[in-house]
Amino acid sequence: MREEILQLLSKENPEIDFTISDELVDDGVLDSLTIVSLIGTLSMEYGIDIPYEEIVPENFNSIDAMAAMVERLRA
Amino acid sequence: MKEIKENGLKIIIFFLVGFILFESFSNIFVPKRFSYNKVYDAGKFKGYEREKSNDIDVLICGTSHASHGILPMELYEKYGIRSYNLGTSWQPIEATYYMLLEALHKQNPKIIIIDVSALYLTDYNEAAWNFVLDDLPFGGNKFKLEECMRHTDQENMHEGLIPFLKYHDRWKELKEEDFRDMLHISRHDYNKGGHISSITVKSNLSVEVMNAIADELQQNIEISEWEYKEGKDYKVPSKEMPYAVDVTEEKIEWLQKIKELCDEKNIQCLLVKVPVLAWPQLYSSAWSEAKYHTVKEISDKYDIVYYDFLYEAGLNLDYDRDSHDGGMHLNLSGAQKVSENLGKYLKEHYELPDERNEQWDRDLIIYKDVRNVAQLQLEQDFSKYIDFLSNNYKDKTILITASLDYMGLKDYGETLRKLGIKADFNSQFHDAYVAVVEGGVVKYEALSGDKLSYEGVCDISREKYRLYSSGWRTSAGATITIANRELANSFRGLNIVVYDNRKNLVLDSVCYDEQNNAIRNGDLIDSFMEGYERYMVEMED
Amino acid sequence: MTYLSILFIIFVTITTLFYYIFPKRIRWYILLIASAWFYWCAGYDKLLIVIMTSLVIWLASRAISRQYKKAEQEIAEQGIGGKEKAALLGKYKRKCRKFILIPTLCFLVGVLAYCKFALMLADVLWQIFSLDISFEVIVPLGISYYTFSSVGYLLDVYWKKAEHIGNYFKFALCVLYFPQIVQGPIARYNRLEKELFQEHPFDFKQICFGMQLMLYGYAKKMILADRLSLYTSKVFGNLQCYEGLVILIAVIASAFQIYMDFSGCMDIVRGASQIFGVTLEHNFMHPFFSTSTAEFWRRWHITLGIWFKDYVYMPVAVSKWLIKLITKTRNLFGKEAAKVVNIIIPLLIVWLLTGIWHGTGWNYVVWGLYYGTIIICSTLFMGQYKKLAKLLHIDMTKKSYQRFQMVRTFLVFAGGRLIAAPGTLTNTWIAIKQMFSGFNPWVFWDGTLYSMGLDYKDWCVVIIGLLLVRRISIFQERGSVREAIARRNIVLRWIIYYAAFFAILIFGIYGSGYNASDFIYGNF
Repeated sequence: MREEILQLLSKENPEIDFTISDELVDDGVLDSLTIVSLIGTLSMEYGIDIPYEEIVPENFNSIDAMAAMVERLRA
Repeated sequence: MKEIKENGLKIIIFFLVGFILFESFSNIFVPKRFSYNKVYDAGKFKGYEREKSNDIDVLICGTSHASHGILPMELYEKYGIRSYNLGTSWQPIEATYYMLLEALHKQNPKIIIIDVSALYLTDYNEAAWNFVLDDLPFGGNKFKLEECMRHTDQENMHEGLIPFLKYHDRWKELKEEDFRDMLHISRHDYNKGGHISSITVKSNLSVEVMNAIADELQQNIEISEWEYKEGKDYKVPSKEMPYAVDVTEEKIEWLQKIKELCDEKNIQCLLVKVPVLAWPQLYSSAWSEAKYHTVKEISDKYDIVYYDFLYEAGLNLDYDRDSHDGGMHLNLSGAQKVSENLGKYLKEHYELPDERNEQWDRDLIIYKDVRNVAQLQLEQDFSKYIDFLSNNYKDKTILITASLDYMGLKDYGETLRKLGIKADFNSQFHDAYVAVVEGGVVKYEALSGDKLSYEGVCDISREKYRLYSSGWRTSAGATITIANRELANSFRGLNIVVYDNRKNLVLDSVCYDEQNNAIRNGDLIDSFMEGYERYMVEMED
Repeated sequence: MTYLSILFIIFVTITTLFYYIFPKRIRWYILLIASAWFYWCAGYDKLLIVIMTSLVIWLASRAISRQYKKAEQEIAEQGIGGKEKAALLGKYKRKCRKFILIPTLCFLVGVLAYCKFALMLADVLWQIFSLDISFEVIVPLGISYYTFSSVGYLLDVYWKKAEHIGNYFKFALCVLYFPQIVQGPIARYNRLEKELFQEHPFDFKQICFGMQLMLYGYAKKMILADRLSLYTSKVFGNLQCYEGLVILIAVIASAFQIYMDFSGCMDIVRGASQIFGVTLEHNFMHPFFSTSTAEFWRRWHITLGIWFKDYVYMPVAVSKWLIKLITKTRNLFGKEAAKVVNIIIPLLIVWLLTGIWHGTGWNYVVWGLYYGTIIICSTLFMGQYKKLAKLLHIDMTKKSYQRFQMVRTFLVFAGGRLIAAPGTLTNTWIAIKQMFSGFNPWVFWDGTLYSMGLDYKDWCVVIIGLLLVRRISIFQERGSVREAIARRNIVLRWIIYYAAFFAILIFGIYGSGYNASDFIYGNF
């Protein structure tokens, strides 16, 4: 799952290194515009609804966190 | 709380220093109105505050007519009456009242003289209020006067109490004198609020004509153009103006307040009117006989003594010589006549002892000195002028240049002998002449058919002067400069400049033309007078 | 009472005295009383409206939080987990949404819309249908600001991002808190709560810093903003009479003017709040140092930008209907198209609303769309732009390029001012026409510029003031200026404080205006 997501997102946003830190949002690597496009990508790819409460830094700070969230929502 | 104790001292000092700075800035920004800037008749109260307590017997209040018309030092010189002139331009009667309240803190006058011009003062002029308001000390009266002034504009009330806020915009026009006078907000005034004006402007009006026009206006006759009306030998101007002879209730109330104040403090209240000659349709201050009668009625009704200088005093005012603006305000000559008459009146009708004291005597000396200069500047007649110079100004420098005309100026030559001049004007025709008389001795003189030029240095002051004269045949011209300042009036006639070496001040510049007319430049004379007064005041300090 | 009156200073002084006299625990009561009184001065009817509104919000948020508690209880009792738990929570959430959130939000936004648009609507009705409805609209002070704060708070409670504030009076203080009520900053109540209700010990340094910040704010507002407005109001009030550079300078002056005005006001309120130990959010972070319009709006009116991001942009961007739309677009037109839609729609909605929030005229709608378009374009074409720069051999990391970017951003902002400042779209059109109707550089030296409300000396004050603010802003980017001053010796510090204070008194635009002709002539 993690690898999948990493590949998917890196293809969409080639200039961002998603492995550079464990605090992607808090460190400013991802800004709101990017997060929106990530959400769009993830929603479309995995057919999930990401409710607004899930849009918190903890869920997007690393690929692992994102993977966990997707798993959770798919279930 | 510990922090407060630690920093308490710092806080106190911070505010203290801040307060001192605030006051200093306030002094810089408030417009300087005092005796030698007296173009506007303002700032009287600041000088008044510097008088010794209980040293004044008569207070004079009113508008600029009173300010120009009554000279306290004349009253003192002849009659030993100690008075102070608190008149200011356009002084509203409310301002008079509150100013008097403040004035009575330190002084105990026996008589308060009110010029009744204010009863007819209907226009609102903010600066006029400020002339009194800004000088009053911080307190209840200042606040109440501020309230009167701003009955509509409540928002900016605090400005009157804190002049800094009112005048902060003056940062754009601050001059050296604002900083120089920062610590000298008030100065002792040797003239006791009097105003010496040494300019003469003839009037083209007479009291009879003024009253005639006033009567016509009162009847609301429509005046259509400048024309000679049938049976009248004067032209009647075309402007129609509602002419008010009645005094409003409000003003009478304030007059009563002042009378009550006087009664309360056991002070005699005297109403006067300094003569004002003006076109009634243009100036509501024109003092017509109808107005005189109206005020007479009011004063009788409220039992206040009223003495009118124009219609009761029998003064012999010559409006060609006694006014500096064609009849509206009196100059030194006119004011002397009024003051003399007032002094006599006061002596006859009131108990006023002849009290002299040292300070006033010293002020009198300065006053006489300044008056001397003013009288020089007022002198019109050539013969008298030269007499004056040779008697009183022997120790000064006299510079003369002229473009001569055979017909006109030859008579001057004889009179000039009194100064030691030897030139024979009869011998030349349309020619050039320069002369320097210093310390009673003719240092240089030259008469020639060609252009003449002479440069020199004044004794004592070492200022450079330059004389130039050129006759009609050689393109007429005449120059007198001292320290590069052009002082000659005209190149047609005899230019005389009088200079005081010790004080480094020019005293007079006059040109006598071929008809024995004295030509002076009013602005120049004003500047001479202002400089002289400033010098006398500063020297005294 | 406005922030710019001696009355306000006295008010803050007295409040501070009472604040520190009373024990720490009840200090916030003083703030509540003071804020209520401050609002009362604006009108007791307005105060009533605000109190009722705040009560409605508080009750709504309490209802929501109670529903959620009930949900937690049920889950705990029934011991369910996983999908069932999610379903149960979802049910309660939908219940809250349908019966509490939506009505309350409608109420709040409705009141705001009514206050803003009722009169305009009446105008329109009159013009189209000749319907004469005359009525008065009571507009509560700061309604735009506290409405947004409240809406944000309610949504946060709904989304479980914030806790309901149990004590109504504490909540009321969050709403009414006087430094922020008039012009913001738009508060996040759960953050503000922490600041307000913490126990604040007496800190002399903080109080001094607060006063210094207020001083800076007053200087910016009274010396620069009010001075510039003398010129801009003259030009914008009479656009037909001016042309060319006069108008251009007015637009640029207007940009600086509104910055000094708004940021100065923010400094005043943040400084006042700091005196009480309460830190308010920054609303400005030197926006004119921005290198792009997007960055500009992260530095200008920051709290508004954040509000729109958190409560409009993100919810819209991740909402179901938008995702559906994007998916459909991708299926029909491909991934690129979907990306474009993903970018455009949320931004468009945000900027449309931002425009409407700022003003009631059509010009503000255009203004919002103006910025929306610029930001959308700069996002969409970022790649192409970079390629172009490479083609022209422009090094984007160089300082000179960054300076160019700052100027460019400023000009974009000035363009925005051109749309908003003249007041109506017609006037904007006139301004544009007049601006290009002639090139007249001689206005700089033939005296025209100095006879329109500002003379030569005034312009000097403006230029020097702007440079000074710029220098201070550069310092501020690097660290706290007040700290730096505090480290210096006492004489220098005091000179700076006195200088600032007297500069405001001397150069400030206030008072009845001394008429330089203290001159009286003739008559009396």
